[in-house]
Amino acid sequence: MNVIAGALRYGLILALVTSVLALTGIFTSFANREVIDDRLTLSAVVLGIFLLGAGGMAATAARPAGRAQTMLAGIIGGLCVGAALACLLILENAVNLSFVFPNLINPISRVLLFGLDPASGIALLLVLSAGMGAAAAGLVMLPARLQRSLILGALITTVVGLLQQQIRNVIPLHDAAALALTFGLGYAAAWRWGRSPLIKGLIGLSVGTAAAVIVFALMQNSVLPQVGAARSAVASPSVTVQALPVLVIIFGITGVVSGLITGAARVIHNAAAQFAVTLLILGIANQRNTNIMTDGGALLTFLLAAAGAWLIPMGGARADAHYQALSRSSQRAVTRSVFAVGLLVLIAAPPFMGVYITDVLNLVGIYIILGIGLNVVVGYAGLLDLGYVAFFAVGAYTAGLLTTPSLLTCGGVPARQIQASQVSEVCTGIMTFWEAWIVAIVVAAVCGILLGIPVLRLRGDYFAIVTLGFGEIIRLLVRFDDFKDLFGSAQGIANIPRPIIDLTALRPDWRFELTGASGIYYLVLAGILLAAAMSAQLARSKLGRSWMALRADEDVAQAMGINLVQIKLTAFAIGAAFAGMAGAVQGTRLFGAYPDSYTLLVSINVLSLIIIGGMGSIPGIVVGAFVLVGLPEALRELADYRLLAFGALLVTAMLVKPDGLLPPSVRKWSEIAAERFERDRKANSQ
Amino acid sequence: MIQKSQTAFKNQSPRLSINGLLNRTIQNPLRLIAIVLLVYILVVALSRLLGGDYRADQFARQLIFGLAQGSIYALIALGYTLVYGILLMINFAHGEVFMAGAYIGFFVITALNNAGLLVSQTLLALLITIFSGVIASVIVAVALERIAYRPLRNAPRLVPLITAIGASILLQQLFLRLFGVSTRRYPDVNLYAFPQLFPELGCATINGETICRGIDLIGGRYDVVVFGLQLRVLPIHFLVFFLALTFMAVLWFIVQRTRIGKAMRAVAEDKSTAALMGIDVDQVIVITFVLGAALAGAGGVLFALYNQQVSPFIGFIPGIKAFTAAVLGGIGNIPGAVFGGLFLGVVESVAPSMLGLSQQLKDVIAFSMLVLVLIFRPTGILGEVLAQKKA
Amino acid sequence: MSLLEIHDIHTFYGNINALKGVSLQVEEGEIVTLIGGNGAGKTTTLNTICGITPPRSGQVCLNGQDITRLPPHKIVELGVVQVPEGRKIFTRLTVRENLELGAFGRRDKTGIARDIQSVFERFPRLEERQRQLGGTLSGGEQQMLAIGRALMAQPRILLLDEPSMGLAPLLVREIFNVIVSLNANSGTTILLVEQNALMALAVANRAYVLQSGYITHADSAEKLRHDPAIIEAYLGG
Repeated sequence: MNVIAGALRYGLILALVTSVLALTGIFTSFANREVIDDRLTLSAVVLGIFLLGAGGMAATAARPAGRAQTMLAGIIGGLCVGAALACLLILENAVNLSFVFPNLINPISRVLLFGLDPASGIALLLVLSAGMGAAAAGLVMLPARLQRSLILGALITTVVGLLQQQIRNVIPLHDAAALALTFGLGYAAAWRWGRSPLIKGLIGLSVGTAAAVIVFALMQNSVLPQVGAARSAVASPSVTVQALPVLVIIFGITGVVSGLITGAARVIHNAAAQFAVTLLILGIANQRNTNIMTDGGALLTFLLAAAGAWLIPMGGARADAHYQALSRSSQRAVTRSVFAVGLLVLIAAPPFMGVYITDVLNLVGIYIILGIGLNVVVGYAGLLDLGYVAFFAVGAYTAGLLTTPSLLTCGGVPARQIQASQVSEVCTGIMTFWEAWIVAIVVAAVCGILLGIPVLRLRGDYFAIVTLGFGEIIRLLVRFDDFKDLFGSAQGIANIPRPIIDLTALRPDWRFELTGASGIYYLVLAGILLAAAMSAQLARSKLGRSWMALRADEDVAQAMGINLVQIKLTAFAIGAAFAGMAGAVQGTRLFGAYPDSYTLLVSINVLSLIIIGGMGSIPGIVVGAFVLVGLPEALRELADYRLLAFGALLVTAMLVKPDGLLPPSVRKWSEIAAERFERDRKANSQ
Repeated sequence: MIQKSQTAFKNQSPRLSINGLLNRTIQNPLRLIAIVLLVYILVVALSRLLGGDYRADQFARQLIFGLAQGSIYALIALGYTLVYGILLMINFAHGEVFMAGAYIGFFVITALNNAGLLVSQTLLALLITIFSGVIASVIVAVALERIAYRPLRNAPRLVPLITAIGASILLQQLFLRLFGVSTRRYPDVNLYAFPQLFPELGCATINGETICRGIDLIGGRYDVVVFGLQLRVLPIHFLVFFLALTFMAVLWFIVQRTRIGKAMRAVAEDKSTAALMGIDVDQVIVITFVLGAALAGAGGVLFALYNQQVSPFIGFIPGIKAFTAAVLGGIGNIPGAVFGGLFLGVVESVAPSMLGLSQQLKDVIAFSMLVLVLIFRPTGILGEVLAQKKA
Repeated sequence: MSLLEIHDIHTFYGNINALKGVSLQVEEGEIVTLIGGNGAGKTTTLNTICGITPPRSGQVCLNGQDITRLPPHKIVELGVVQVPEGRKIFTRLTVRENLELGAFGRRDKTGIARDIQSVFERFPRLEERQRQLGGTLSGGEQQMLAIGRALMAQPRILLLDEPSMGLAPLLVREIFNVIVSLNANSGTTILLVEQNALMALAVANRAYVLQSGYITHADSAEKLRHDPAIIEAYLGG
């Protein structure tokens, strides 16, 4: 009976959550969003997630009790949720609750009764709940790896389905298939015959070259264009261009990479392999007449994603084993080569991705820079800064003030008093973006020092609140009407120009303006590389080690002779500088600096990136930025629920992983300290 | 970190000699800046007063409003201070506990209004509303404690803070999604009392007949002349002030005189020793949350009665201001929280006009006070009352 | 059946093994002492018994009843009361409130009042200062308050953690007189943890020696007092 009690517990908890969400109208608003054409709506997916979740949690708890019990628990779990929803439906029918819950104006019964009459609808709901619960139990009883693959596969398919419209124009199927095939063959060949990185690379190169030749031949014989014409895929520049040399280069590089990663570090191997799978999925998504994923597409995507989730980690383990056996210099060579190719892909990407995706990636990139910066403050020096957005704002406003006609650049005359024609003679202070960028970084760092000095001696939670206060003060001050001449109050500073690369001294026509989403993209990319490199360098330096000591134990660090105030201040200033850098970029991206973009929520967002993706590692920050910033941006209809999910995520992350804030190296340090302490204690007591 | 958390003992007798003050000032440049700032503010205020830019009746009006607003801050601040004193954590979501009381109170008072009870049995209806606000806040607070805070009792300090921030966002958004984006409005309430006390205000002559209903405690607005000053007085401000003081007095009584209050003080000072006394520490902590939430819930309904508007976001800024108040008075210190709340309310209300600043800067003033007090006197004006160590 | 028995206790702080298989018994009416150097694990043992730091493995039994996993306040209810190391009286509460708090689990008002009176009879100085804050008392007075507070809980067994710590020799003698009289006159069973092995072995019936989480000696106090190894290590010999 314990099994039933446990199952009921989980079931009822999830039933409560689902009912509350139902009352927010999640099912009705998501009912219009289709994930798979004519078959699956987002609403159904959400319902499925909760039913499976309830069944799964109940089943997992009952697992030790045996198969039958697990199945029973799963069914009970699912039924709890179903029953709760059924009660809700009956209640909704009986009483008008739309005064309290305005979202019920669109009654849930329209969706959850599946278009049937109440009795049959509820019956179907209950059967469905039990069924999903049983399915979840079945899933729980599968081996762990299979479970993971299936769940990941389903998740990825759902996300792809939601993003279908945005990603369909990235790459045509034939291109993707050709590249993926080359990748796969090169990988397989290098796996089988490759002994050393050099040989692996050569094997890959040969496979790639062969592929290029074959593709070229196919194109000459009109096989491929036929394929292309038949699908009439709409795409940004197609990879299968006409010229052979170009084909050789593209396919050759693909081959080399596929070969090398069979002996690369696990992270690199997995990332590259996942990229290849993603490419293929993008190809599948490339459909002609529809913005919604089809049955076939969904199935293929699911199989690919699940297979990838299953196979890639296996390959990663083997590749890592090979990698560890290499010499240091070989390791570095392999990693650097793959990185170089990765960089090439990043640089070549914008035309393929299109304006919308590029813009989303720009925002993600800016948050990555912010994350790297805040990581120096929180992750390295252990200071919880809740007012980080202040430096972000400082960067944007500084850049804005220096690149547009303003009080600063027009010799003390407010901008609105100057006619357009007078601008060039009165506003002599206007700088180029690059100059302003540097000034913005410096100003932000100085602000960091100024703000840091009074507050650094406060204890952790007070420090957090003070920084929060600072952030809010800055936001309110730039918004203040009396400062309109300087900061533009609620309208902010407008018309920040795009950066211009002016090399006309070398050649008269070498003047490039970084316009459009792709212009910002390259700027952001450069910023990320700079920030990441500096951050990695800092971590390795003497300063970085003193930060580690500070984090592990402040008193011990002080006893070791480390000047606490100085290193904390340095961390704070460096973090501020990164934020200033990001701020200037944001300013030019949005063509302006607007006070309402710099709220407390931004600081919390950046903090969450680091916590959830991060633990202080840069790949983690990248992942965090994609999940917490990229996904919500790309999935606009989820925007309503974004903050809700966000708050829930923060709470659950802390409950599940409370020491997520401590990077692994710090934990080891405190264990060393503990052991030393034990030894000393023993020595004293003898 | 003993040197970082200063106990009440260190602050019980501040040395107040001019020489000592001078010495310490010169040694600490930050202190110098603070004193210069204070003097500057005083000079501006005085010059405006003398110059006639700021009049006494303005002051009186703003003082009354400030006291009412301040007592709401005090009610919320007590929740912060109780929880911080016992758990050494900032319950960042306490502002949302306050909001929950106000919001649920809205549904109750609207239902009562629709049933006609608000007009026929005003006092009863109001009591029911306040009570339901209290219940709602308590439920939210207990849920927070059980689900989000209790598992993290022994985690490093910053982890519960982040959880609290997440919970704050979660609660705001939950109310927003569940109950809709439009701001809800409390109905107009009229509560007549004291018919004999203010005959010129409370009586009306209709058709030759004089009916004295008394002054309208909730909805009334009266123009009176007091001490030669022309004032527009809203009795609800006084009501809120006195009710809040009453609630706080009840809390003080509970903490100082009852068995459970003794247990709370013991747990606040030293958890493990309190456990050795046979005190169920978990239960005491829950009771602390309940008391703080009850005050916040009552405060929420009172706030909504004179502010009349409720939205899921009304908890955020008052929450931060209340925390400022708690720190101002000395965190962990119950009279301190009351003092801090009233002080902040009055300063926030009076300072903009007195110093000739825009009303837009009200919040800036509050945040600045937070920053200033945390930098210059983190132990608060009346001194902290905290446990010696966290566990 | 012993009044208190702990069996093969392993207690950890995080990953540090503080108690490595500690076993001991206390019979009703005895004074048993646990001696050992700094950091040996004496306080940990008491905290394990009282439920503050539950062991990872092993058992704590009171009169045969397994109390290993009970929460601290329930263990106090069953009559296992600790006078913690360093007194740990509540400095912000008055002497009287401290005593009342000691009886927190009890409901009988008359009984509590009567017991407060008897504590005052035993420690007259406390009666003088009953309305003063705990923090204003001297070390010796605080120790008496701590013991009085523990007595308010009507203990079946009293656990004392280093009562002599930080006290002048005269006061130490006074405290130990109190301990002896509690046992002799009121029959209170006592488990005494001490660094001051000399005094502890003088008053105890039996003794255990704890070193780095292990029990190294267990015998009558008389025998251990004359044991050369013990004399050398703990009795300044």
